[in-house]
Amino acid sequence: MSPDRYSALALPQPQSPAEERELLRAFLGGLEKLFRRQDNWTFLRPLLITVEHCVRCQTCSEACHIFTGSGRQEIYRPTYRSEILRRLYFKYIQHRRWQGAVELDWSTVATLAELAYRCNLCRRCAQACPMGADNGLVAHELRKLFSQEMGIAPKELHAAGSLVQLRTGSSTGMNPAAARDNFDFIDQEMTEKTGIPVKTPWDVEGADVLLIHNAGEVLSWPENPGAFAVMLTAAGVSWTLSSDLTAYDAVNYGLWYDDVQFARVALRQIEAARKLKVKRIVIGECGHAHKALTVVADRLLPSDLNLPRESSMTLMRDLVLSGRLPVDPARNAFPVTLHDPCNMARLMGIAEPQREVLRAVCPDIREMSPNRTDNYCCGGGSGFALMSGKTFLDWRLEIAGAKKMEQVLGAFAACMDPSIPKYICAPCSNCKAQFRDLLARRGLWKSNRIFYGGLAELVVNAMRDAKPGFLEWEWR
Amino acid sequence: MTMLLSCLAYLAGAVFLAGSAFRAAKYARTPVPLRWELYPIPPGAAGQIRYTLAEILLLRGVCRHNRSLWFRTYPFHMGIYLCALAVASLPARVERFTEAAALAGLVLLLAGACALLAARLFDPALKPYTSPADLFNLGWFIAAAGVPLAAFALEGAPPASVWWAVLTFHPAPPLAAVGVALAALLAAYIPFTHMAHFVVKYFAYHKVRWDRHPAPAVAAQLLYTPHWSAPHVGADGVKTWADVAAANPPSREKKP
Ligand code: SF4
Ligand code: SF4
Repeated sequence: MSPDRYSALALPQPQSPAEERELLRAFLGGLEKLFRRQDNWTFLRPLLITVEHCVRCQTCSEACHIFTGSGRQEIYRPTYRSEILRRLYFKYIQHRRWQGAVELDWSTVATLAELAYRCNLCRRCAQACPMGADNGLVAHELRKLFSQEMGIAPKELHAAGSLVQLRTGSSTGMNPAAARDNFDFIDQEMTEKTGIPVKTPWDVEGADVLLIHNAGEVLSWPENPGAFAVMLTAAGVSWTLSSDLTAYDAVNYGLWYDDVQFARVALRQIEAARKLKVKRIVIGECGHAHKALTVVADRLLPSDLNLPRESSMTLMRDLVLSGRLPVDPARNAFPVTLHDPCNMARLMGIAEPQREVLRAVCPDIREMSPNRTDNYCCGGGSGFALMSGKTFLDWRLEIAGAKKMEQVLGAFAACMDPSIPKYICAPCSNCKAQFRDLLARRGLWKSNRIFYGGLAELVVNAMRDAKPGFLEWEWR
Repeated sequence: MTMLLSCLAYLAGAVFLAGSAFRAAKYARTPVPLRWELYPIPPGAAGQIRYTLAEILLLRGVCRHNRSLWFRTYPFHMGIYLCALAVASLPARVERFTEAAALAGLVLLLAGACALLAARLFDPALKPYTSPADLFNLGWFIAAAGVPLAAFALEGAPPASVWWAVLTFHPAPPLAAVGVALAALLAAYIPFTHMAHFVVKYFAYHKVRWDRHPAPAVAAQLLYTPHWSAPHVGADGVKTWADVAAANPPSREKKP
């Protein structure tokens, strides 16, 4: 049951009127809780502002890459799902007529559930809204209603995501011992590749930096955590990883769909840092992990747990610009474009540090337009890069990712010749997964040599103290 | 009748102020949310004031992102501002200025409201999202601006002097009196509708989008009791948010 031909949730059709009634009852219960302070104090204020004060002027529509990328299909308009929620709110919670008709049946509920997963939560629409309303937040709140009340969430985010992380330590299912093994292997490879002897330190009490990577990197792009190990070793930083459950995996999928799961993961990550008495936590190249632990968790943390948290972008900037990592930009003599992960740029304001690093290590930067806080989402945001079930992958690549690909091709328009290798620098694990799939779907690596990767890899590729050729330009 | 209309005008003003204050209090009383800011955040108080003034005086957001709507909504809002300015300047007795502001305001308001109504009725992007309440509201604005202009044309009653007469308990011509009643009732009604966004935007910007401050109030909110029903939450009507966050999800997840 889906408003389009794609599916994120594979919702079943109720088998009997009694079952449908039960589901509708559960939905209405969740709707009520969404607007109750005891149950939803976390986001009630911005939700009420949006639901009660959006004037439905559609000023936000053109800002949404999904709406425009779909050829402006009505169901993908930022206000479409919000309008259904608003009418339900006025009819069933406020008992006010005249706010527009709506029927509450399973089809409406299923439409809302699926449409909550046709939004990247990138909040570009919110930036355009003169009222301060936030349709991205509406999608977030709807996801919460379905997860927290009805137990409905994409399996990649919940059953095989945050639940696995809380149980095993990482959403990848990698337990602490496996994580250490993997890092040992990465250390060996880095030592060989760069000539810099690397040994990842674990559980070092009192270290300056507790580094937390998105553990997916370890499996999909091990050269990224490897590059961090090389940089921190070469610069003589006092650093460590933690082998505590959830603290060697920066991801926090709850950010996208469930406040309870969100709080659980964030608190455990911070607790691990406190236990190690590190001076600060540095978050690796993962956009949502940045926002989750630095911004959204901030007010949840009691003062003894409110440890300094920093972006790896500023850490890299400090290392490179201070001269602690001598670099030779000529080693990166190829066109590079920089993708701004929404979570870092629009939602945290981190846009310049990564550019300062890039300018120091790359001679040929080609900005996408628009960029920084006005960037477009890659289309993989809010967990979509992890979700490929059924036809969802088609939707994510053809509709959600269309705008980003247009931007990339625009940035590289003057150098599309396959003899010139090109690099999309995406300092975020989820964005990288989306770029991998987008480039593969369009054959752009094979036909035009457009590659993708993180920022740390570019730094190490330019490091004078490392053997040249860190970047292997091998598709993965 | 004169007395009644004058009282209505004052009462409406009081309801407008009280209703706006009530709405502000309602939002101020909502729990402090988790941080949810949106960049760029204008730097410093001066930057935020500049941003706010550009929003209020130029409707800059709409101008940038929705130019065709701006041509409709800008006269509408300017009309309201000018009418408000005219009313505010009444006691100063700068009659020519006040009258000019009132007339210009009413004309702009009427034109803007008609243009907005047309968009609501015919623009395919707006029409499906238009509720009966929206049409009613715009209709009311049109009447509240149109009637005083008609009174000016037919009864020769300049709107600002009509308002002054009513506010000083003097009689007004019949059509002009209807205009005053419509405007007064509209003013009293606005704070109870989404049109009270002039109040709520403060919270949207200063208490959500631009708010990066620590919030000690959250500690108390962590003691609220959640009632969410999904098994993984583990809410039992007694456990607080802090308890639930500290606990692991129950290991056996049942399908709902
Ligand atoms: S969210 Fe904002 S921009 Fe979009 S329709 Fe509502 S008020 Fe207009
Ligand atoms: S948050 Fe992003 S994806 Fe979602 S409706 Fe807004 S612009 Fe579109």
